[in-house]
Amino acid sequence: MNQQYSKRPKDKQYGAVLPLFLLMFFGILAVLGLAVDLTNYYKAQVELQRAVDAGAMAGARILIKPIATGGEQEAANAVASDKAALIAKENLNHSGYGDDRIQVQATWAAPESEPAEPGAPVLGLRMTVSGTIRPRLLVLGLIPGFNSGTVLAASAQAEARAAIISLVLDNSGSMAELVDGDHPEKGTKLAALKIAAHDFVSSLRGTGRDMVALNTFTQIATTRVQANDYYDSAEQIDTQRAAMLNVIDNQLSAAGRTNASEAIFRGWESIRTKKLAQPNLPCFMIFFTDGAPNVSTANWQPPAGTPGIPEFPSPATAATKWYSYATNGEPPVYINHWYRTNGTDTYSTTGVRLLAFDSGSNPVCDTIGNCLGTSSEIRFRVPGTESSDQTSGRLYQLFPLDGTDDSANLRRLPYLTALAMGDYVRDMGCSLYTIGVGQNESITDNFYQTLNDDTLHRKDFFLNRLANDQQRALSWPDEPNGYVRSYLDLRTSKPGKYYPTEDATQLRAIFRDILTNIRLRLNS
Amino acid sequence: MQSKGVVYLELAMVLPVLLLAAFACLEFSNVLRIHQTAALLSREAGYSVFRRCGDIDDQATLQNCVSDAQNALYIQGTDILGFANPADGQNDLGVVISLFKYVNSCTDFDSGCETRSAVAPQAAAGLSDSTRARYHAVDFLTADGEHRPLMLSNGVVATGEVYLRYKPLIPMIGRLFLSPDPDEPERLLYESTIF
Repeated sequence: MNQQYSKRPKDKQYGAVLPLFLLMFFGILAVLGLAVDLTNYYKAQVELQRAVDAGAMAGARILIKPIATGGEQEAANAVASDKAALIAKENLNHSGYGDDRIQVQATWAAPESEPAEPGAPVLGLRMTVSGTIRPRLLVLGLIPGFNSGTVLAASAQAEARAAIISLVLDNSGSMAELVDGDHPEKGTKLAALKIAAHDFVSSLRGTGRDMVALNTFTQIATTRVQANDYYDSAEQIDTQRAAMLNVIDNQLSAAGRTNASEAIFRGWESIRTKKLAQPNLPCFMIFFTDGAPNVSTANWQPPAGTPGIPEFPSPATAATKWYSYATNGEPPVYINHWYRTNGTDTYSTTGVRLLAFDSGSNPVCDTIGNCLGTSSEIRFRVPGTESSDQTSGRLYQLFPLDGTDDSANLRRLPYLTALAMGDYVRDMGCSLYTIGVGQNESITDNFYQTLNDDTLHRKDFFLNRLANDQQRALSWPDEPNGYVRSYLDLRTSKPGKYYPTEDATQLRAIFRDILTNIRLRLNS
Repeated sequence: MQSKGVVYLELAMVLPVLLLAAFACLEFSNVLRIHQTAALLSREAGYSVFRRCGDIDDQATLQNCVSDAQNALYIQGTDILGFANPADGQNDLGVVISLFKYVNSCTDFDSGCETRSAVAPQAAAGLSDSTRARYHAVDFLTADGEHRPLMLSNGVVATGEVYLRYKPLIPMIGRLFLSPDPDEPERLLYESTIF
């Protein structure tokens, strides 16, 4: 190259750059223009997607509103389609695209009676919004035909989903207390729950094919209304919902203690066959309580005439599913709640029984006092699905106790068995939503009735952990070093959501929020 | 010597243009990044409040819900923008979330519609009148409101609005990419999404 340069006559170099640059300048401009065009292109794509997403969500929200039956519902759904398109169009107009550049259409579809293909999810009421847009192109737009021919398309589908829902409601004795002692006009916690639950169940009438069961609990849990089947007729579903409303309105009274573990067990049992039959349907358990668990199924005596507690298999058996407690030192103590035989879940028909083993399969205790009485700290060990977890497991520290409060010591088991049961429900593919109603400490000095007692945050942590709410755990203000989050089940379990409130009159809004979360999902 | 002078002269003529093009590219990508951030945040703002607060009828509870969503989005936004402390971003980021709704099933705006509205923050400091007029300042519930048809049909309207202060790398070039708006000397980029 140097040789070539050296051979050029010097006078030929004069003025060589400017003409060259002038030539290149237009090239540079064109490249810059193309860059701007590409940006506009992708920006338009994003704005179009955003618009159809918003339209689909807005339309689906109208779809899930219960509006009578038959033709009225169809007419309402058609209106929802119009409005979905209107919202999408409004967003595009606001992004600067005139009507001459956009086209939007929305359609609603009825729930599927069966999956479109084997293994596919069964779709519920859904709103689909699709749109096209002609982006503004500076350089490419100069080319005849290119601007008018460049059309971007996007669509979004929001689904009012069919779901499996287990309602588990606390009607223990403390539910008879006033929401706010200073304002008796707000009524009792039970009255607030009835209003909220009534509203929730009413919203499940008339649309969708949700399979819903209603359970209530005090020291024992009862399935009050069995879940309907997916293929039930609209009339059958409506009758079943009416039965639920009757229980909520007329048959709930506050009495007894708080057995969270059995409540979750019954809640799962009430939807188990439905979930196993429709494994693709989303499954939710909504667990409401106003108190901390103070009794567990380990204390529960089998009803007369029911089979006795079956013999437990060895926890070392590979097919065994067990949960364990560990004291400060190793080895851990295992407590069986259920077990698997030949790959099939089998339950003790009488619920959960306390029976603890050491890691060598040797029984070490069979009473609460024997198993828990000597430790100063209880850790909760949950084996995962991986074989290595069967021996090491994952440790959860529930909370440290000072060992002097006998009542608190006895409460360890109810907490832990409930958490174990919750983990199992999530393992089976269901999400847990927990609602905790507490009372402000200015109202009660019973820390089991508050959400945020000064020292231990027991109920708050318990319900957060039960739901496996990872978002809320992140926002715990006074937990050092991510304490709460570190004890969440981050790996395999479904995350749920925990709703705390110190005002039971907010329950209605909370239940509605849960329903929206359950039933409205954007599938862009 | 003579040829060297010509080269320098040519360089002096060409270099500014090349630099201009290079800085324009930098500036443009910066504008685009800020713009996309604003768009993302506005979508999330509208989406979250639409889902979480749309069913609340009680005015005080509704306002709390909307305010909580606004706070959460603001923190998220400052995090995305790289502020170590959310408070540091108060001059550069604004998130305005609004929700308007009917609490009864009314069909005629002029008769019997019981309404609720919540806006957070109440005062959108830094927004010019022309920007606010696009959504925030428009009351969806007023009879002559531009967006009244949306309100009537959906019963609930949620908007997520985000404004971001754009700081050009080179002010002279940065202004090229922002639409001239005499009411917005501070060059706020604005994005909104309505649900």
